[in-house]
Amino acid sequence: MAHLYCVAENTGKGFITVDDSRNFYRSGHAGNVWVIENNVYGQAWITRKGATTKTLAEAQAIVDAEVQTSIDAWEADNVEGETAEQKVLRLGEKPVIYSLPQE
Amino acid sequence: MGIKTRNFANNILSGGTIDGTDFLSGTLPSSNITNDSAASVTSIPSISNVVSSVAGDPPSPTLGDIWYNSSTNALKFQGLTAAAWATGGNLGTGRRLLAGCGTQTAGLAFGGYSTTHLNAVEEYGGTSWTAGGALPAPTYEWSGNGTQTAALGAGGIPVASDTSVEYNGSSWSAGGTMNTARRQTGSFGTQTAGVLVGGNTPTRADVEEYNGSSWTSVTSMTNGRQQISGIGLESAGLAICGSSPPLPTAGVTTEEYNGTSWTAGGNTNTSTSNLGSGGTQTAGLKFGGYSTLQATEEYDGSIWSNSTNLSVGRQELSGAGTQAAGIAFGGNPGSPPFNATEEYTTSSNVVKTFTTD
Repeated sequence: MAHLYCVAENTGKGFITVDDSRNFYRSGHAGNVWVIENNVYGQAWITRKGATTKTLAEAQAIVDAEVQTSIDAWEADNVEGETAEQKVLRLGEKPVIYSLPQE
Repeated sequence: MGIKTRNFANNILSGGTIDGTDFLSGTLPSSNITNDSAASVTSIPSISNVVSSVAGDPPSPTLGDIWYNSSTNALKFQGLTAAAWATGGNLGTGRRLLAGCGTQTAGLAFGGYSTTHLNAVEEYGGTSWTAGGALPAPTYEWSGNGTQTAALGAGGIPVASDTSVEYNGSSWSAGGTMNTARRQTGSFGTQTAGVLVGGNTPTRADVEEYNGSSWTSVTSMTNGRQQISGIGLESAGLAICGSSPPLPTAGVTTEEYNGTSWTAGGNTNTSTSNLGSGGTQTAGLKFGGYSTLQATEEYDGSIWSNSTNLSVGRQELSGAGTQAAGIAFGGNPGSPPFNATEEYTTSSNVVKTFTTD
């Protein structure tokens, strides 16, 4: 499955419709990055939403920067005497850099 | 020999003609059991023996049925429309580790954690979230059950984790004190017949029931876990997944509750903790959570089946609604924002028309 990459703010109801969900693969990521299936429906959605298209490298860089900010915040948020397990219970798992879906 | 499915290759009559009178439902001739090809076929039955011609669409077709609608001159079949997640209105305050309950058109999100713990409450009307009555105290890492106008929240931090609160659609009041303080629980049922399961610390298997005024310790689950989820009613509930030490160890275990005792339910396909859920013991829905984030599964009372993924993968979210019409809101996708809402529509049978274009 080929993908398109874009940036668009999730405006809530109607941003992705039931038909959209059925017509093309989509996944949302940090930095308002969206990975959209490259078919006629996905292409039309990008146009309809006025999304800014990105290359995979550009989209990945946006996501990486956002996740890195979250990692830094997670590492800096400590409570004296807290164990590693307690920290996970309090903050959730430490965010990780990951790769966007590719073809 | 076991079950042998009848098909063209093993429904050949003498002379090479395919039996069109009973097609796939008739008795399998013993002489054809070993047939594994249609090489000897000389003719096939009329299409009218296989596809019925009717003046209108059948009132209650079965999935897979094919017919010719002579009124509209269209070849049709009963197909399946895939399940879908569509975006709903965004929460006014993005949050994770929140509690939630209600339905897709009357949902409730309460408490949680953004950059600090929250007492904010939001009500969903099917399109957008509006402010509800604030909690008596900020609370997160807890669970909720009931409806938008009769909700129950219990446990959590940083409040004393043995407290519970009740919502009447506009304001909150103190509920009964639990027998065991806990957080990261799951819950199901109603405000006057609620069940609270699992949690920590330490990892708990014990269970309490609420009757609208007081909590009673009842039969424990077989498997202790935290970051768990629950669906259903006090008399027919389901405890779903969760984690147990060493963290993060998400599980696939589910357990069914009949109001008295627990029995093993079907294992989920994906190991999950900190998940969202909705539905009932025999028509359940789970979505999101650590570590698969986007995965969605449906439960039929014995087996979990994979369904359409969430658009925004996340853990520490909340959920409500039914298997047919679920809702996911809030949660932690790894970095802000934490305000996304998604609405689930399950798959359904639908009449489709064969087209050649």
